[in-house]
Amino acid sequence: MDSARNTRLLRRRLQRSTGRALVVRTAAVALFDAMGVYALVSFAGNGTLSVAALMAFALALVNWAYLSPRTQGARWLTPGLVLMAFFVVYPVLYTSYVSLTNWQTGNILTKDQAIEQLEQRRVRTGESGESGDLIVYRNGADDLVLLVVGETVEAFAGVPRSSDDEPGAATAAFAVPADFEPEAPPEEIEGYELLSGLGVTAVAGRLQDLELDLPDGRSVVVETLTSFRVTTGGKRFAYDPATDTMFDAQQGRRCAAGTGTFYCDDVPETDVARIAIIAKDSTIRCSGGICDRVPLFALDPSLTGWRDLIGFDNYIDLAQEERIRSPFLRVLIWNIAFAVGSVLLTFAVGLGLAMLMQREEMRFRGFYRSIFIIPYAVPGFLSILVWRGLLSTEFGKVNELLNAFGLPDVAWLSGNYQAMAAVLLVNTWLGFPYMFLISSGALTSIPTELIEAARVDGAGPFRRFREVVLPLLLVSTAPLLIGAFAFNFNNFLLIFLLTGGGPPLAGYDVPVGSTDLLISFTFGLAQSSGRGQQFGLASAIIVVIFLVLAITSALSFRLTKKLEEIYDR
Amino acid sequence: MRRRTGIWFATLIVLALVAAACGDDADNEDATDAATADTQADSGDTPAEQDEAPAEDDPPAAEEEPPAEEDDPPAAEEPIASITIWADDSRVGPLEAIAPAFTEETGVEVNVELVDFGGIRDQVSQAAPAGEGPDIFVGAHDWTGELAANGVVAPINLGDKADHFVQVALDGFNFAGEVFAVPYATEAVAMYRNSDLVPETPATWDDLRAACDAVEVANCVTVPGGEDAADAYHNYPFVSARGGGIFAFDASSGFDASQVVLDSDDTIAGVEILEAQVADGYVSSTNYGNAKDLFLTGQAAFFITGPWELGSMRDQSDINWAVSVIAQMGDAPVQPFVGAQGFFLNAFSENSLIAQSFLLDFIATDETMQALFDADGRPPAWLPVVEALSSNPDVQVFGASIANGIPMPNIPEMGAVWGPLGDNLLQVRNGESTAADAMTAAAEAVRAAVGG
Amino acid sequence: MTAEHQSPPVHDAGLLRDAPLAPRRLPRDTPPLQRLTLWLRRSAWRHTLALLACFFSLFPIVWIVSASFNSVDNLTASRLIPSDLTLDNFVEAFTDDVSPVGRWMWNSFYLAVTSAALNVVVAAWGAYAFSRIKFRGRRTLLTSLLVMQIFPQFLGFVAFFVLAQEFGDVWAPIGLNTHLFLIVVYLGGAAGFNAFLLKGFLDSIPTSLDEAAKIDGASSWIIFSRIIMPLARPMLAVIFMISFVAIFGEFILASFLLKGEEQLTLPVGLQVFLADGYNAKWGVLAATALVGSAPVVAVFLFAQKHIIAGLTGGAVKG
Repeated sequence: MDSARNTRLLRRRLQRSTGRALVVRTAAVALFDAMGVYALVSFAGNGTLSVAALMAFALALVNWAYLSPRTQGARWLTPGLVLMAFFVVYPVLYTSYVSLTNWQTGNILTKDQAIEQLEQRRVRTGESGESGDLIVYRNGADDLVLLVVGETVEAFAGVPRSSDDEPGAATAAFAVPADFEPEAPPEEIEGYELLSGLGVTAVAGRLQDLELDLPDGRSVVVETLTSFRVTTGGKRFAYDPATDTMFDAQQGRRCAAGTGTFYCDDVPETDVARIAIIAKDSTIRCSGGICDRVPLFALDPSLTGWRDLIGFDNYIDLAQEERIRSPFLRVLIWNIAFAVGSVLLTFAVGLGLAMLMQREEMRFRGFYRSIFIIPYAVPGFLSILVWRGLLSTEFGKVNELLNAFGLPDVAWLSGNYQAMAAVLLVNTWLGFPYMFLISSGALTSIPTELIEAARVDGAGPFRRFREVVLPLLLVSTAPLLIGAFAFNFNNFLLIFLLTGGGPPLAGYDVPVGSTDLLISFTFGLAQSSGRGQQFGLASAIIVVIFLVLAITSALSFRLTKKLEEIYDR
Repeated sequence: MRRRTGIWFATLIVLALVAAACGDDADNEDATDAATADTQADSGDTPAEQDEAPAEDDPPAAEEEPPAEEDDPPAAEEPIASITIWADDSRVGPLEAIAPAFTEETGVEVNVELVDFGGIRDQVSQAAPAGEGPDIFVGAHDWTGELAANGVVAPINLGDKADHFVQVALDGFNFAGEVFAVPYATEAVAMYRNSDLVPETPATWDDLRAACDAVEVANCVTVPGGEDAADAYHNYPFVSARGGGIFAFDASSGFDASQVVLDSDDTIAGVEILEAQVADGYVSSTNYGNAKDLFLTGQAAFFITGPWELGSMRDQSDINWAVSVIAQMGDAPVQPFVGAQGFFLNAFSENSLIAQSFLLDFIATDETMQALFDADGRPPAWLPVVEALSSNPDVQVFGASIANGIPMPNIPEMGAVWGPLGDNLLQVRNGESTAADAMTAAAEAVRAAVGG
Repeated sequence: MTAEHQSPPVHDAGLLRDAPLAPRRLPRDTPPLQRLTLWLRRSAWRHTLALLACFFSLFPIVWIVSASFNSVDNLTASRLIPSDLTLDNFVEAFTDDVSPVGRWMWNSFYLAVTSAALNVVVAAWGAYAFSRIKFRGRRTLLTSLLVMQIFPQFLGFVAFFVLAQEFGDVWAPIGLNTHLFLIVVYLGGAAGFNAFLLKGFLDSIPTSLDEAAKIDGASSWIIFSRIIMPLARPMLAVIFMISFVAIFGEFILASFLLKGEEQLTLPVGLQVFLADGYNAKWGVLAATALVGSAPVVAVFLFAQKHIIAGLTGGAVKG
C-alpha cells in the first residue's frame, strides 16, 4: 500500500509537471516563431524565396508538432527533420535547380549583377589618362570638396558629383591659393577643412563613387585615396529596363537581352570571335559577312553574362553527347565494382577481425582493438597522401616490401589494373575499422541462445556462421552496408588524392582514367569543356547519379524489410 | 568577435548537454521537462536574440564614427576601415609583414586570410557575387580570362606605372585589352644541375646527354609529369621545342582558341624529342615529389622546375647545385611557359577605393616590391627591383628563362587543355604512346571540348 | 556468458573439431607443455591473424611516425629509422607563427565534440520516435530520410553558400565562415543515418520495459530518458565516436566554408599550409598529424569503455 501511495504521488507530480511543460513549450515555440518570422522576412527581403519557403516549412512543422496535442512522433522528429530540410533536402533541390540553368564560366552572376558590372565599364580609347594629386575637404554639414592638381590639370577645387550622373557644367569653382605644393595643401577652402589621411579613409566609401568635372570639360574620377585620374572615355553601357536592351557605346549598337546575355544584330563577321561561331551551342547566324544573334562575349570575352533557366537542355546534352556516352559505361562498371568491392572487402576484414576478437579468453584484445582503430584516427586525406607515396613504383615502400619477399615491382599507380587494386587496397585500409566497430556491436547483440540452439542441433561453426550469425548480422547491418555503398559510390576524396582518376585511358575524346568514378569523371568533364566550368551540366549529372542511387537503395531497403520479416520473428 | 561568440555558444551547448546527461539523479520532476524535445528547437535561438542587436549595429557604428582627427591617437587603434586579402600559405607571411606600413599610413586594417591556392580561384567566383569575397586576392595570370568572363574582377588602370612592370607579366594579366591585376612576380621553369656530378653547364641537349653518359648516374634528368601524375606545365618546354604550341598565337590578338596546333608538325617534332629521351633513358618517369627527392639526394643530375624550389635547394640538399636555362633542343632557346603572379581586385568589393589605393599607392612601389621579393623569393615583376637584383645569379637565370618563354594562355578555354594535354604527355613519359598518337589525341580532345 | 556454464551436450562434438565445445579453461594441474600445445592449437592462429592485421593497420602509420622524426623533408626517399632523429618538426609545427596548429586542433576538437554530441541527441530523438511511437507513414518517412542521405552532402556546397549567407544576414554568428554554421551542416548531414543506426538498436530493447513504465504513468519523456537511453548507451557511444571521427577528419565542406588561418580546422589547415602545391613540408605535416590524431584515439578509448561495458553487461538482452 506504501507503493500505491507512492504511485499516486508520482502521478500527481507528473500531471503538475505536464502542465508546467506546456507553458515552457509554448514559450519556446513562441520564441522560435519570433526568430523564425524575423528570419523569414529577411530571407524574403533578400529575394531568396527558396530559403524563405524552407523557413516557412520549418515554422509550420514546429508549431504543429509542439502545439497540436496529438503529435507524439513529430515532437521527437522535428529537430532532425528541420535540420535535414535545410542541409540535405535543400542542397538536393538547389542542385536540381542549377541543373536547369546555364550556370557556367561567364554566366555565374544574376542578371542585375551582370548589368551592374557591365555599366561600370568605360569606352576604350587606348589611352590611360593622366593622374594627379587629390586632396579632400569637408565642411560641418559633411559636404565634400575635392582639390585636384596634376601635370596638365590646373589646381581646381569643386563639388564632386556621383559617377552615375551625366557630366554636367562645371560647378562653381572655389578659390584656390595660386601656387601651393601638394605636400602642403591649404588648411581650409571657403569653410571646408582639409581632411587628414585617416579622415580621407573614413570617407572612402563615399569617395569611390565620385567624379569631378573640370572647367576645361574633362572629368576626373577618384582613383585612390590620394590621386585622381582623368577619364578618357564615357560609360560604355546604358541599360534600358523598359525594352530590356543594352546600348553599347563602343559599337554604337543596341543589343537585346536573351538567354544569359545581350545579343547584338548586324555585326560585321570580322568583329566576332571565331571560337564563338564554331562553339557547339553557338547562337550566331552569319551570312554575307554580317552576323546576327551575336552574344556580347563573342565581341569581347571579358564582358560577363548571367545565369538563366534553360529548361532541360543540360539533360538533353547529356543524353546526346557522344563524348560523355563513350566512356560512361566503362566508368559506370568500374564505379559499381569499386563500391561493391570496397564494401565487401572492408566488411569481410572488419567482420573477420570482430569475430576474432569475440573470443572472450583471447588475450590482448584491448590492445588489438586499439591498433585496429588507428587507421580511423589519422585524418583521411593525410593517410591517402602517405599511401600515394608508399605505392610509388620505383621508390615506394610497398614495392620494397614485395621485393624483400622476392616479388617483382608492381606499377601500383601507373598500370590500369594495378591502380584499381591500389585504390581498393587503400580503401580497405581506410574503411575496415568502421566495419570492425559495427560488426563488433552487431555481433554482441545476437542472442547467444540462438547460436547455442544451433549448436545443440548439430550445426558446425561454418554452418552456424552462414545460417545463423550472418543473416542476423545482415539484418542489423544491411542499412549500414547500403550506406557504405552509397558513400563509396561517390568517394571523391580518395580518388582525387590517390590517383586523380588516373592512369589516363587512351582512345577517348575526353580525359578519363581507369580509376575515375562517375563523380570525378563528370567533374573533370564539366570543368574541361567549352568556356571553363559548367556547373549546370555537372549538376545535371549529379542529379542523374543521385536518382539512380536513390532508386537502387530504396529497392534495397525494401529488400531488407523482407529480410527483417523473415528473420525477425 | 564573431568567432568568440561561436566558441562561447558551442561551450554553452556542451555544458547544456553535460548538464542534461548528469541530470539523471537530480530532482525528478524538474528534470522531466526542462529538456524536452522542443528546447532543442529554440536552444539555437535564445542567444540569437541577445546577440543580434550588437551584431547588426557593429558595421554602421564603425562607419558613422566621426572621422578621426590626426591629433587623435586612439583613433589609430580602432581601424576606421578594413580590407580583406585572400592569399595562399606562401604569401600570407609576406603580406602580413608589409601590411602594417599601409595601416599606419591610412588607418586601414588589412586582414590577410589564408586560402589554398586552388581554392582561391574556385571560391572567388562563388563568394564575390554573394558579397562575401575578399577585396583583393592573390592569383595566377592564367585565371584572368575565367575570372573576367565571370565578372568578378575589375580592370585596373595602371597608367604611367605600367612602364615599371615586366612586359610578359602585364601581357599575362591582359585579357581582351584590359589589365585585371597588379603583377608582382613572374616564374618559369629552368634547369637545376648537380654541380658535383656535372661541373659545366651543358648548352645543348646533346651536351647534356654526353655529360650524363660520363658520370653514370641512375637518372639523368628528372622532370615532373611522369609516373602517376599528369603535368603539362613542366613538360611544355618539349612541346614548344620546335616551335609548337597549343593555340595559334598572334602578337596583336593573343591566342586563338579556334586554331588548335597541338597536332601540328612542329609540336609533334618537339614531343618526339621527349619520346626519344624517354626511350633512351635520359628522362625518367617521375612525379613531382620523386623528381625533387632524387635530385636532392644526388640520384639525378638535372631537375627541371621553377624558382619556388630555390628555398628547398638551399635548405635541404646535401649536394652542390647550380641553375641555368634549359639546354637548347633546336635552333632557338627553349621556350617554357611563363606564369605571372599578381593581385586581383574584386569587382564586388565594397571598399574598392581603399583596395585600389592599396594596390596602386602601396604595392606598386619600390619598397613593397622589394619586401615582397625578400619574403617570397619569386623573380619580381617590377623592373626597378629586377635591376636592383642584377647581381643575384638565380634571379638572372630565371629572368633569362622567363624572357625566352611565352605566357601561359589566360583564355577560359585553357580549362579544356590541361587535362587532355597532361594525360597524353604522361603516356609519352611512361612510354605507352608515341608522340604523334598522343598529340593527335590531345588535339582532338581539345577541339571537341572548345568547339563542340 | 562465461566458460563455467558450458555443460556440453556432446552428441557430435568431434565432428567438426568444434573448439568452443571443449572446456575453455584448463584444469589447474595441466602440465605446462600441454598448456602450450593447446594454446598454440587454439589461439596461435588467432594471434597470427591479429598480428597480420596490426601490421596492415600500422604500415603507413609507421612511415608517418618516421617522417615526423626525420630531418629530411620527404616521405618516399626516407629510411624507416631516420639517420638523424630530430624533434625539429614538432617544434616547428607548434611554433610557426603563420600556422597556428594548436588553434586548428582546438577548432577541430570542439567542432567535432559539439557536433557529435548534438548528433547523438538528434539521432536519439528520431530513433525513439521511429522505434517506439506508432504513426502513419513511419516506414516511408524513414526510407525517404535514408534515401535523401545518399546525396553526397559536399556536392551541395553552392547551396550551403546561399544558406550561410542568408543565415548570416539574420544572425552573424551563424553565417559564412563561422563554426556554428558548419556544426549545423554536419548535424543535418548525418541526422537520418544516425537515427536509423540507433533505431535498429532500440528495436532490440523489449517493449515490455516501457509498457510497464507506461502503466505506472510515466510520460514518454521519462521512458525515453530513464529507460531507453540508459540501455542504449553503448550504441550512443558508437554514434558519438563515428560522428566525432567523421567530423574531425572532414575536409571538403570545412575547406569551402572556412577562411582565415584562425578559423581553420586541422585537416584544412594541414592541407592549405603544408601539403599544398610544390612545397609540401612532409616532416611537419607528419608531426602535426601524429599529434592531431591523439584526440581521436583518446575519444575512442573513452568511448570504448562504454561500448564494452554496455555490450558485455548484457543489459540489452532479455
